[in-house]
Amino acid sequence: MFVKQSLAIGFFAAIVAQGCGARSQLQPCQRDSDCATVDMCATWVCQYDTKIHDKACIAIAHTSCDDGNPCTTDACDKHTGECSNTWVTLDVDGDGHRGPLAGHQPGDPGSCGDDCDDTDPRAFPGNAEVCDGVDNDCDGIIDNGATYTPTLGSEFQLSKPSFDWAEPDSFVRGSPKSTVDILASYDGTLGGQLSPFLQPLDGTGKPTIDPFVLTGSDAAGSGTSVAWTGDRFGIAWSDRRDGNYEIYFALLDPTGKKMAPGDERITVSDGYSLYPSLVWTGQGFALVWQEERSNGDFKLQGQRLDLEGRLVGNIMTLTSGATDDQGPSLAAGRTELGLVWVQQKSTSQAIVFQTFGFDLTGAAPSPVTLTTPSMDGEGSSLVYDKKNDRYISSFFDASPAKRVVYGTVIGKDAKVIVPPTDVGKSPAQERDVSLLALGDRVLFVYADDRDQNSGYELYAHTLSADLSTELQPPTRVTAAPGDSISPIMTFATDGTALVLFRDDRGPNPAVFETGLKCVMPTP
Amino acid sequence: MRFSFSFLLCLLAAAACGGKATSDDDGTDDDAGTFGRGPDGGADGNGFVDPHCPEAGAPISDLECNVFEQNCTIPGSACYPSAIPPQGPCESEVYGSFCLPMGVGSQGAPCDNGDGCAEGFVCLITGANTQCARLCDLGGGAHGCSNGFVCEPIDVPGFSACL
Repeated sequence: MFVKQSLAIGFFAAIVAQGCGARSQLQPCQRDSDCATVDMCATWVCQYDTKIHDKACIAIAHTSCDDGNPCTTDACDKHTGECSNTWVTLDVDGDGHRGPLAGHQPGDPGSCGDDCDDTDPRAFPGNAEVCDGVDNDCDGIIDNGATYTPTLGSEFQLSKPSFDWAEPDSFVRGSPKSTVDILASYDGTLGGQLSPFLQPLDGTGKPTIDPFVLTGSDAAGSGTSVAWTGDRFGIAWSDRRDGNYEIYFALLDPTGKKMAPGDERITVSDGYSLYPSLVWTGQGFALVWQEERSNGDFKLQGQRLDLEGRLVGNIMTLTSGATDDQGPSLAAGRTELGLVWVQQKSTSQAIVFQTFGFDLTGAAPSPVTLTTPSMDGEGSSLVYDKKNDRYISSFFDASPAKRVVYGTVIGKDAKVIVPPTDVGKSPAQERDVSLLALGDRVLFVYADDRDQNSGYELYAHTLSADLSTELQPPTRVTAAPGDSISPIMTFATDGTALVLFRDDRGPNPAVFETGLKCVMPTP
Repeated sequence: MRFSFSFLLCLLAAAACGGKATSDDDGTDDDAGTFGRGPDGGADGNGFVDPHCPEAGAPISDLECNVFEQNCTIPGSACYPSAIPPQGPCESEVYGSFCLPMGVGSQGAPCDNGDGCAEGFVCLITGANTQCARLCDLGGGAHGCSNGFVCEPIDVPGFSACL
């Protein structure tokens, strides 16, 4: 009902005539029929106008196009007199349901849309929930009631045997309509050259083509972070081609091809710029990294980019004070960004959390500390829990005596809802934790040395959304000798929780992939 | 676990050891043509073809000393892995080990602000801190890591540290 009717030409022209003292621009007429084609959105009569002392077309009634729907923009075509009522929201994914207005919950009054994910046609209200890693029925829960079963022995090596070594960086699902369903990235050394590699995968997690080098230079690059926008991937990484580590950014189309303008240098700094974290907010990319200062400490910096990769605004300094800030991890919420990082203080190594606006401004006055003073927090990551409109962070305590993996829940108001909770409950060493927020539960995968199997193995553990209740006990995911560490998860199209990880079963560390099969409860 | 970057030593190495590089004939890559570069992005007009560096050779390896044997002869020096970034567009990087002034930091000790690491350790930016880490052999053997730690590659190919 956003009314955008055409102005009646008579009224407009009369004001012009009065204000400027010019001759009348009103359409002259002798009879009503002379006014029929002036503007079909009004009823016209030919009347004597006292101001111009002549007969002119005057509108006496306007066509109302108001359809009574507050979610449409109503307009009248003055050439035809026909009304149009255009929705203010779109159905981008074509599933018959519109996405909500920005800042609104899907289905809420005034939201003008009830689609909980308008980038995915598998998600809309009323749809049946199946194993696919998607909230099909828009109740906020992914694959309701499903359990996740490791498929021991099904893991395979993703990086080529000729790599000197390889370690995973990023694991991101595109859309079912894109050519590349899933994009994996990892660092590796091939022929003595350290480079970031990309590996496109199909919906089952199988390679579609050979991996390829991301960068166009022959200098070292690494530490990729990938984000999916709905029709393309954004990717950021650290690159040494300029004689110093700088942050670079590029766009990849849905087939994995690098898009114009190619590699974009984001930073120009005397010190190292490392560990980028990239997310898509729905409005643009948000990119955060750590940048070295002259005293050797690091501060967090941020930059926004639009869908075409163009810089939006300037680089912003996100942290200040006498702390060393490293390892940022971003997550995009509905109306804000969440950010966790490691803050090195004089006596502790804390994991801290802070929210920012999508434009990287409006930060809370100071970050909230998630760790206790006795912890040495490391490996922090952050995901947005869409159903509960809050964040879940995971990290591990790297204290020498015993490494423990933790999960914690934080509100968008930066208040800790669930303090750090021991996720693994292992008697042995633990490290490197990844998680998937499923709405009513959380799936964790982490490295655990409880089996003393010549190094760490990966374990899966499912807890309730508030981390208080065990829904599936810790279950072994890998079983080969040698370390299995650094897991990263995403969903396959059949709902399998795919796990990308480093494995040392062969002569060199390599990137492997395995999966936790999604099993729906029996009706 | 995040990949770790060596700290400052590359700059020291550039000053102390530049010009001593030697070629590494074993650095060629038989597989580079198979999966060395990305798919052609130029066909649809919206893509981008990386210019790459066709004239650039393999990275140069310059091993002045052995980080496990610690065979530096200058008193007060120790052997550390280092990298010299390219000095111009499409020039090769230099990876190697060099004898540099010895610090005192052991596993986990902070090493920014010029505090160096003891022999057998390397200063790393881990994404959590900037700390000394024990050098190790990815293949294990005599140069493995203690309980809870894992031997992780660093950004100087051929070298790894316990994290």
